[in-house]
Amino acid sequence: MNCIKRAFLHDVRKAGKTLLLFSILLVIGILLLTCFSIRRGTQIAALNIRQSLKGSFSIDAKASDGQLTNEVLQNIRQMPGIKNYNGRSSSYAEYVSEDGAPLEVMTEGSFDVADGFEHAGKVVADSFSQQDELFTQFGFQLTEGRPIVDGNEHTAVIHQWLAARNNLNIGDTIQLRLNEQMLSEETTASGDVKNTVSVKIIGIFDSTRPQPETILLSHAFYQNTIFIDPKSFSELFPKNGSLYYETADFQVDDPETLDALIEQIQHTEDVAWENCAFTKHAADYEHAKGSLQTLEQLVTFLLFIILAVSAALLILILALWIRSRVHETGVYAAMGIGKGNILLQHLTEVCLIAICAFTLAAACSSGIAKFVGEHLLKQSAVPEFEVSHFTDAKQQNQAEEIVELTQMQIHVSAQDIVLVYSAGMLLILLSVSIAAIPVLRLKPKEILTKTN
Amino acid sequence: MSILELRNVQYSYDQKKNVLKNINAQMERGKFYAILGPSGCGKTTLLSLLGGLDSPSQGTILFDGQDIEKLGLAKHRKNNIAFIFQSYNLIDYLTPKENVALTSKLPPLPILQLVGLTTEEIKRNVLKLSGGQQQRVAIARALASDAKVILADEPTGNLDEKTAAEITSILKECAHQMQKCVIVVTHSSDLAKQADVVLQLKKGLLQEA
Repeated sequence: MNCIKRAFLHDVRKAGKTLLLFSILLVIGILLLTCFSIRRGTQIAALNIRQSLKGSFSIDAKASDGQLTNEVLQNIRQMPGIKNYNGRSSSYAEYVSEDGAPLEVMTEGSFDVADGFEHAGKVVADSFSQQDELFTQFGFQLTEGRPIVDGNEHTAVIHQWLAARNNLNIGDTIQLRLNEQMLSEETTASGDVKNTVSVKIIGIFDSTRPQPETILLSHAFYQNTIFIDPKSFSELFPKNGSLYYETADFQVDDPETLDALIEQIQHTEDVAWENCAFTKHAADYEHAKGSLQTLEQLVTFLLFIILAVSAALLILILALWIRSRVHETGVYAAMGIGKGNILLQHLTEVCLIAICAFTLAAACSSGIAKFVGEHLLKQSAVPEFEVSHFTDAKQQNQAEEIVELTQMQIHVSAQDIVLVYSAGMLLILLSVSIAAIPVLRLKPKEILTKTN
Repeated sequence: MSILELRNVQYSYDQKKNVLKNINAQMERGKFYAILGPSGCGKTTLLSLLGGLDSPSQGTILFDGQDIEKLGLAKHRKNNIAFIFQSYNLIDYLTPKENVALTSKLPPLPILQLVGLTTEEIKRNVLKLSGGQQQRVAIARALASDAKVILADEPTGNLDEKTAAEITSILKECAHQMQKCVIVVTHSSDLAKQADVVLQLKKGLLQEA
């Protein structure tokens, strides 16, 4: 008779013991499944929250003399964990129509119109114009056409007022020009400055919020702002002959990875990073971090407690039972049944019960896990987070949305069940082995002497 | 030819006093041996050594001419030896049939019937059998293992006179009809009278009575 059959017969005939062990393993199984599913639920919820918190960082490379090139930007973009990006540069230029006539700009309400800026405005170059802070925070909205996206060349998105005032439409071409005053201020400009660039209007925007009253000069007015592609900007303000950016913003998948990503970037040798300033924008995440960690730590702590208590309980009970079966062990040993075979029988007995207990636990854990998860969620008191978009939290008028950790998707998955079976079997292996050591160390004669 | 042979076997519990002193003996198949001796003289220890439950302090024990230590004690117990204990030592959660089937190399039912158990008794829980019936199961288990040597430690010690006589008779048949070497440790003079060879263990020495 093999050990599996002996184990099966033992479990069936010793119904009282089997039922007791079944109950204990059922409770252990339910607790483990509950913890595993809540832990996974909190991890997913925490990741969702972190992703909603939209961590980002900026690189200010104004002092790097054009080292933040498009190639560098693309290399950073390829790094795992970077969600999206926007390269940005800005300056001022004079606006001229296709046939060379200066465009009329908004001057009404300005404190002063600077010399040489009578037909000028702010030129903003973006890889993705929709991701510019003016669009994400300051109420700019595209009303016609399309935005600028990475790879566009000689394109522009202009204000609705400027378009109407100068009778410009999508598809029209305008020129951006650096006049004498601007060239004299453009300290980095080299001798072969191409001071005129033609751009085609591909989109028209409107500003839905009033401009802060601190803006006094006409060329800084929203109405006089033109978004262009980085290629056009690099031609108008060339540095080292390549496409470059003054600043870049990178949105990350998970704010937790911000520091590691910045460190990784600083270890690349593309740019003299000491001339660049890195700024993290993760105030929301920092605010939420403590609460998220508390919940995860609470569940992990519970998991370890359950594992430790389960192991101790199992070892104790199995040790008592195996010791009470020393007589049986001696008889088997006298019959030439090896110690390994006897240990395997004990293991099989518990494993057979565990399979039934864990299967039942899997069937009834889902509701329990959900209930306990909701209770823990309340206990951990994770607050609501105000989430700002892809930008400096200090900015005013920022768009906000509320992210709440009031619900977790807790369900017992196949992965949790496999995990419980694995952890449970390991626990049983450990418990049975430890419990059986004192008996199995004895010689058969010693065992029989103890019992006869 | 002897199936079991003891050569200069000595045994001490604490390396000081020898319980068994320089024992030399040969046991053959087809014979029923009885080992007599006062309590504590080392009878059960001698049986343990023959059965590979323990190892002698000195000397060797040969089975079919081979040193049992070299054969492996567990292997020796499994293949060559069958034990019958005074307290029967049946597995309490198995039926008589399953107890016999534990190490059975032969079909259990005919053997159980051979030792006198009914079909109803065969299916019953072993703890619900009488002492005599339990000892019959133990004998059946020993026979079913097809071991050449049966070692019995006070097999009739817990039984009434009539049942003891029946068990003795079965053991005798095992030796004579099945060509087993049956070695019985006993205090019972009745049982010893039935033996082919009676050995006396006194002061650590084994002598034929």
